[in-house]
Amino acid sequence: MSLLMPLYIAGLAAISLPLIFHLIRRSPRGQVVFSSLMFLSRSPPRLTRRSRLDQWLLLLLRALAILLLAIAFARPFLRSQSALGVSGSQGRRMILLVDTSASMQRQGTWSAAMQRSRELLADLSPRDWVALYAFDSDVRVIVDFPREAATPISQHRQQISEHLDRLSPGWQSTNLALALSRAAEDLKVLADESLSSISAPLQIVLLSDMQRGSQIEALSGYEWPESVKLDIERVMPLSAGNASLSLVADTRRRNNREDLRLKVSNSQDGESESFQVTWVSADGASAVGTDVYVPPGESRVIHVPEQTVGDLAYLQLKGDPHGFDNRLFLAPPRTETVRLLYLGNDQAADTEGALYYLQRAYADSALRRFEFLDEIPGDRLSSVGVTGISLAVVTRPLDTVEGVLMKDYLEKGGHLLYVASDTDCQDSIRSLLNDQQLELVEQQPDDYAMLADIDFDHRLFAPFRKPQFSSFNKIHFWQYREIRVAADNSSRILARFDSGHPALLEQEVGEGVVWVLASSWQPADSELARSTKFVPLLLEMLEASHQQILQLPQYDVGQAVALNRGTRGKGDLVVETPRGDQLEIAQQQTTFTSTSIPGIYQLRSDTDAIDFAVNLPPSEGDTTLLDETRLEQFGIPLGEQQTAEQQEQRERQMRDLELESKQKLWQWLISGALVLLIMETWLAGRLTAKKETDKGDDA
Amino acid sequence: MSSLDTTDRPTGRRRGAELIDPESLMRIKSLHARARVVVEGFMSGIHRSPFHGFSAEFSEYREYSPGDDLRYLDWRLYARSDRYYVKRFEDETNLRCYLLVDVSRSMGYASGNISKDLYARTAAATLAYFLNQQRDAVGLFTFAQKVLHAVPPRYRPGHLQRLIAALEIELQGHGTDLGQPLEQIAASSHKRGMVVLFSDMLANIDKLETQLSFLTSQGHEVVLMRILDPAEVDFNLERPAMFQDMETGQDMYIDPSAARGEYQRRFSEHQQQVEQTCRKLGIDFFQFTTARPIEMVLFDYLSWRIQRNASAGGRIRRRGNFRAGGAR
Repeated sequence: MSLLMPLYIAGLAAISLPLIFHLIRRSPRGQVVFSSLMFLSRSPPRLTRRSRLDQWLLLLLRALAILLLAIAFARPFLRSQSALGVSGSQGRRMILLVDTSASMQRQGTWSAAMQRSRELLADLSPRDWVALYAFDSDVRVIVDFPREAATPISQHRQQISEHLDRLSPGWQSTNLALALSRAAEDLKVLADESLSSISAPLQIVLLSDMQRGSQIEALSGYEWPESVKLDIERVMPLSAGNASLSLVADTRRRNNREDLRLKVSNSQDGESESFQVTWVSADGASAVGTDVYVPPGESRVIHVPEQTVGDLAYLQLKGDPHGFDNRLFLAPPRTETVRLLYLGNDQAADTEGALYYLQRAYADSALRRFEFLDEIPGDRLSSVGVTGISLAVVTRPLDTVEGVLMKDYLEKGGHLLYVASDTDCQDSIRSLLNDQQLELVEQQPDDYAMLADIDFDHRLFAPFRKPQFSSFNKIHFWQYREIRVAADNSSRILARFDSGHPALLEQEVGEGVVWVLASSWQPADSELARSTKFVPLLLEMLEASHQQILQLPQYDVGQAVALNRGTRGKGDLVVETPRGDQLEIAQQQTTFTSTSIPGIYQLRSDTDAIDFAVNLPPSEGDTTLLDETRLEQFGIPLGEQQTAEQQEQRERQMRDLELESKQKLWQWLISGALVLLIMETWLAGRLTAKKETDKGDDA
Repeated sequence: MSSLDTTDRPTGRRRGAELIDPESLMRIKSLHARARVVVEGFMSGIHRSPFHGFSAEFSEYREYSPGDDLRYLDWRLYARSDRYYVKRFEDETNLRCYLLVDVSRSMGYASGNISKDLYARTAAATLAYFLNQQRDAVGLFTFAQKVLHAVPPRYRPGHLQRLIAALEIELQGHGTDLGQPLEQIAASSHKRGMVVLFSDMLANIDKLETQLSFLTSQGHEVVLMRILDPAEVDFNLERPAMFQDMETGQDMYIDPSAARGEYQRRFSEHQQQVEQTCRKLGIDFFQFTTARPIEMVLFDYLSWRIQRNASAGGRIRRRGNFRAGGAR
């Protein structure tokens, strides 16, 4: 005999109640207020026959009824031997997902995470399968599930424990959405592969500081598998609050403002409010700082003057307990030198010539300095490539040597603008374009010619595509050279005159490009130099030809640095990391991905060395706690899955329940109790009636 | 209630000369209205008019002796009989009546619906109303261990309202102690008058004689109206229970069936002592239970006045002429 609810057996104690009621002295029923007790004296308690047990049978009936009731409530059932077995349920499939992002570097966070993970491992049921994943901006499988059950569980656990010890937080940002979706997907695949009919409970245990900057938004587009439950083990740093420093804009040497705009953010649970931003030199000495007051939960944008003293390494935020996001590295500003080759007959000061206008279009700025060459330098056109000259502009016929050199320049990827200022250039253009049938015919329209049929899809004219910029009607051409090309010419006409003759022609030669302008911008030919379109057009030509190897001076940790090798030689590139390691980049690689720590990196090629800075992503500094309900909003069920033992226990209980509901012994017991109570009532009634008859007789 | 108040009042009671049972009476909320219902109903039953014989009344003739005030010579009689007689009049001083109402906790006891306190206050109000109708000055003292309210005896417009308002105040005191209040009252009522004391007298009566003699020694004529609850007289409670003393808060387990005999013995002993003391001091003693119609209080009072005037007229006259109004 087993009991479904053994606690109700405690109801047996109620058996003593009739006995107690029988034996205790009847205490006065209620209280009577009387005007004065002056004529009264205390009555002695009445001792009646009640103190003795005289109705043994009644007492017995009542006690039995209560006994039956108590047992009935305890829901007894008979457990047959055959029903004892419980089918073996599978252990949990669990992924231990450990956050190794930079914010886990906060004091106390990592040690708490490690301690919690060890506790979790120790609490596991022997039937559970565990895998260890680490994530920051990417997900890494550290220890996978034991495949084929070949590895003994204990050995696998040991392996996980060892790998856990080796893990440490890095400098990357947190991409929780990626990590969770990847883990959930892996669990789903594992469950699908399983041959067992009973599906194992799937569980992700997330060990993280759950910061708000965890990038969970992408989860909204992921359909979470319902069978996977997420258990969040939140680890907290020893002290709350965090302030972070990030760059808003590097305005140095631009707009003539020599300062930096920085953002200082303070998290909502921040304790300090005053901070200081200082420049720190490589040897650790700091300059005088800028004070900033940021209340918790807010951010301030401040201007920090550029320090002209050399050997400055980074900007440091002081006054924040957690230092992982308090450094900001900035690549030193760099002025680029652009070399232009100009082959023409005019002088720089000649306002009727082309060079005069060209030099004004390519004026020096803080970021670029232009160097005009008037003859082809032999060494710049070496076998390495056209690293020296970004753009060549030719306005006169080339001699034979120049023609060969320029052809070579183009083959190696150079860009050349040929301004056909008169029909004498015909031969040079013929040889450059490899079109021996090409002819230049002088044309002088009656009044003027205008540009028409412009190819705005081409990158040179793309900036003018919008209607407010697309009018070229005000540019009058007094004369031009009609370019007659051979029928099989592969050149592309970018713009025509209103007469239908080509105005600007583009042809690829080798790896380079030649643009042929059918007129020129000299005042004698046209009004082009004085139009608003002139400078943008020339700058577009320069952008097309001058390719920088690095697009940006600033990158985030973990971000791939795109290397724009373009036509600029095939030389090896080397990156020196802040730690001093030299990493070679193979020729076919177009990105550099080892930006694993913040700091100043240097990219070195044969001819140049460019610094770039790598900083922590600003989102990583947002350590305010993430509300877990936001994850629930994405349809992720939170909580723990039951272990195999718990499942079995539950199953056993279900069986017991079923057995009990089949047997329904309680009904018999209740009926018995009812019969007893009826007997008791009858007996009590009889006894009372007898007593009254006796009394009546006495009276 | 309204039917009692107006329409049914004169006919209903006059014809049957029935008395209103206290429970119906107490349903009238206003104490003043209650008093009026009792007095006017009562008066209309036995008397033509309540306003009778209040003026200076002729009492007797006495032969003139030198020194008498000539103003009182009856010149007409002299003209008729040629003798000098002096007219003597009833004392023109109005009755000065002090109503003493015990409002101690024990007065709040009620085995039925009417507490002794309610009964006492209604009776006092009735008497006050009645006396006020006769232009007598009525004063009021309510007391528990000490005097709680004092309204000096006056006859002036609004005085009755003031007095009834003082009576309407709920129970405030704790225990009964006649000593202090009576001494206080004696000290503050210098002029002789009549004192009507409403109390349950459920207090220690060792010093009752001394206490009551404060009043009698002042020359007051004292009437003691003892008001009891029927249950206090019979002690016919049934169940054994914890009994709590209303005044002291003392708890006691009492089985009434066992304690009844003892209670009744000690109660009547107490009552005899009270009566004895009263007799000794010339105090008139009445005892009611709250089941008795209020009119009977008035009736008892008036019949007592008549009896008193008849039997001890001299003594009364000696003390001052108290009129019992239309009861004569």
